Amino acid sequence: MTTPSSSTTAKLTALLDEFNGDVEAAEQALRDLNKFNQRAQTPDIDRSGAAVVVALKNVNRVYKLGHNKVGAINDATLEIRQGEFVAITGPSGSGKSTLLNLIGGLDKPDSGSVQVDNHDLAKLSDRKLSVFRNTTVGFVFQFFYLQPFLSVRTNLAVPGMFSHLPRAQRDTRITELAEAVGLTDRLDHLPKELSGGQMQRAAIARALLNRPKIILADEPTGNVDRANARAIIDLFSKVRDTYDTTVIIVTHDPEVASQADRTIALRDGKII
Amino acid sequence: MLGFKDNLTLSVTKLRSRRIRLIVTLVVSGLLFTVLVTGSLVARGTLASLTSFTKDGFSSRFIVTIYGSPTTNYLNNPAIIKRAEAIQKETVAKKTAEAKRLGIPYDPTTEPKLTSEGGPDGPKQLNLDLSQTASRQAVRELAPQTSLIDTITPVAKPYGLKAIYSGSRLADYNNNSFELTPIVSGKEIKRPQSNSPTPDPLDSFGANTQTLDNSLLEPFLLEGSTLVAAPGDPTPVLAPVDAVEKLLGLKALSHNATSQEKLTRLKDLRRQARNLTFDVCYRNQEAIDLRNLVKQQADEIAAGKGKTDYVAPAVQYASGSTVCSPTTISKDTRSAEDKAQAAKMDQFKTTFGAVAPQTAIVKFRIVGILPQLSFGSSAFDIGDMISSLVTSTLGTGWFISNQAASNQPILGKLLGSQSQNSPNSELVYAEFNGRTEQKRFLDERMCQPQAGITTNSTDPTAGCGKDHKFFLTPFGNPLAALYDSKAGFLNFLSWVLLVIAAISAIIMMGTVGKIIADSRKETSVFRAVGAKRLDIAQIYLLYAGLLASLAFLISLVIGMGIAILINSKLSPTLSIQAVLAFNSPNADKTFHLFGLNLLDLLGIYVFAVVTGLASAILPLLTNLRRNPIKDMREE
Repeated sequence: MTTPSSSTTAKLTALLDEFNGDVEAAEQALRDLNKFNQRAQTPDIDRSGAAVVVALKNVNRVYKLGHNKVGAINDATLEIRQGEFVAITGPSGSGKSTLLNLIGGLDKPDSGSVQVDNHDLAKLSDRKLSVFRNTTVGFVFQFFYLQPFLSVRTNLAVPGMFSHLPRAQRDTRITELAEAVGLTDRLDHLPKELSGGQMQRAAIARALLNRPKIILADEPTGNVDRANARAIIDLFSKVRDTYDTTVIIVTHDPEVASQADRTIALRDGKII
Repeated sequence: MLGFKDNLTLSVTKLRSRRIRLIVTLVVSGLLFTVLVTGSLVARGTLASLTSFTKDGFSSRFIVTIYGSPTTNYLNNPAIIKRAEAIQKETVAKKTAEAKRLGIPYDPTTEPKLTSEGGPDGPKQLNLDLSQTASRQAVRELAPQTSLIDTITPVAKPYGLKAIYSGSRLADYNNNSFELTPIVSGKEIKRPQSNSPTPDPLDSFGANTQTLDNSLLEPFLLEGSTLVAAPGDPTPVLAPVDAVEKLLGLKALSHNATSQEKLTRLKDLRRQARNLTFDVCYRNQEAIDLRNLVKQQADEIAAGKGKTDYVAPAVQYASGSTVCSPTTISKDTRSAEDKAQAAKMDQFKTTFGAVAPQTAIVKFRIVGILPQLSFGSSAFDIGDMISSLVTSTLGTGWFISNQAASNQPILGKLLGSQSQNSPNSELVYAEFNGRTEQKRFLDERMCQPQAGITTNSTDPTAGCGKDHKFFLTPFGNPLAALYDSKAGFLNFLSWVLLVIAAISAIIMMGTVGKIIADSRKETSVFRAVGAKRLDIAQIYLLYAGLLASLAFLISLVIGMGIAILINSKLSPTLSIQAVLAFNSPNADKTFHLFGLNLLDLLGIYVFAVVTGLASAILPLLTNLRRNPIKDMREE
């Protein structure tokens, strides 16, 4: 009935879930889980025909450092399509994170346009930008940024609280995501009781709760060991394959970048 | 907007973080609010108790005593003196004629002088002696006949006059022509010398007895007692506490007696004195003269015993065989002619107003005990001073109801003679609707001596200032002073509580504000995962509100504990002191220091929450305006 690759269908599913309540939500979770396992083995798909979800045109972003102005992003133009797994690479200070924040609506360009999922981010009000960050994108940070006073379960629930996701549906998704990221038995723990890898997986699960179209991950493996790093990248691949989610990762790790469909390299704020 | 349940989940969960700082904040704020809560509980309890106690006696009645213009007005009035002298001259002429007709000797020079010399206007000033019939008649003829009650009523009316009462003194210093001597253990008490250092408490009976309206006496009645007396029944009287002790044969408590001892004594007195009756011996001036003559003759006969030239009086008098019985003639050696001459003399006296000697027992019944003021006590005692400030009393002396006094034949006659003979024995009490009215009346109408103007013989109120022509004094207790100090105390207390509230607010603002300000990273993470500014504001405002509520709960528990402790420690002693001070009819009445006023507590709670919210708003607005990326990176 559902095809996770289609955003329209996903929205419909979400609507149906809301109307059908717990049973429907549970069935949906089961279907998603089956699909998740199937798609994990699916070979690469050609996405040249997929819709463009991220489009940057002549984007500039300048930071003031004291009296000096530093160009963090210089005239960047790029397109990323639905379902793509893109790695943004480059040396430190090349503007990787700035680019990611611009795409995620956490930062605004000084000039140029940032179009994400047909939203011109520069034109969105603060309120609409919040809704955008809450539902269209999901952030994963290098330092996880889980709320230390909330249990893993509540941390995962937070985006759902802000999007007013019905509690039953929220709980179903948390269970599903916790199982997918292997944290079912850690849900009632505080973040400080988790390992680095576990915290990052929890952060990924949180980013996925509202089923965003785009995952934006800033050095997600920067603070975990190699094995965990691999697991995290595998997780992103599975997410992309399962939900047709666009995954954009900032990394300076070549091994991580090699897992992506495409790499966007930055140097001194310029896409090269 | 964030759903309330989710908001609560996040806020309550946040309360569990940074526990040590949170506990410090809660304890500090809680303790400061504790002062407010304790203050409210204790102050409300005290005020409620004071209100309850002030309903006793006169504490919630606002009465002013109005004294008539002093008798010097009449005493020094030259016209009255002239008229009195004319009346006396007429009388002397009549007496001379009557003596001639009866054939008895009469010497006009034996007539008493109507005036004495000396006074505020100089040594030549003449003062009328009101004990003389001619003087009294002159006053009646020439002095304004308007009674004080009629004069004062229209003046007091605009001040919120509630009622006006009258009373009169049984014995006026101008007309002390009778005796009322209490009888204890079958004997008349001995009247001490005027300079006796320790007068008998019963000595004040008669000389210091007045009648009053029932309404003014009722608050002081003992339980089950009444001011009503059927003809022939003992006359109800309210007595000073020391007199009651004496009547009951109890020794007065020492000055160092504890409050408990005083209370026990009060209870004993109230129990034993209820409807205690005692007798008083009444003698008119003629009976007093005869009684004195008995002693004089006895002394004279004793001195003349053995002297050959001593001639004993032809008529000898002796005291009656029983207490307070009339003086009798014990020996009469007069000739028939002498007796006839004496009879003529008596007839002469009767014609010119003399009355027969009268001696009689008047029965009284104690219906109330009046507290004793401690003014003039040799030892300085702050407790006594406070008691004196709040004590409800009628004043010193003995009090009888107007009605009961006029129903008793002898007392009724005394009252009648008072109003007839001494126009200024009238006492007027004006009761006002409230303290403000009472105070205004006192302020605006009381004689306030003006500098440079002295009272003169014709108008004693000359120096009082315009519109201040009355001699007034607060009656019952010095309420104006009490209320002023109570208002001042409440004002002071309000300021203290306000300062504490301000300090609490500042400290809470500091601690809560710091917690919120330090939540920058949390705020930025919430923003990154899609929280709107309003969502975050909701979370932290609820958090601050909950924190303030917790601080209030802590203050409520501790405050109640402290207030209960204060109450249990101080209430027993204060209750006794209050019963004694306010002359409470119920000796077991409790003075509570704990009073729950939900509005106060609600006010403190709202104050705590508003402070909490106010502390959160500024740092919250700052956090929300910040760039989330910057805040996340900085940490």
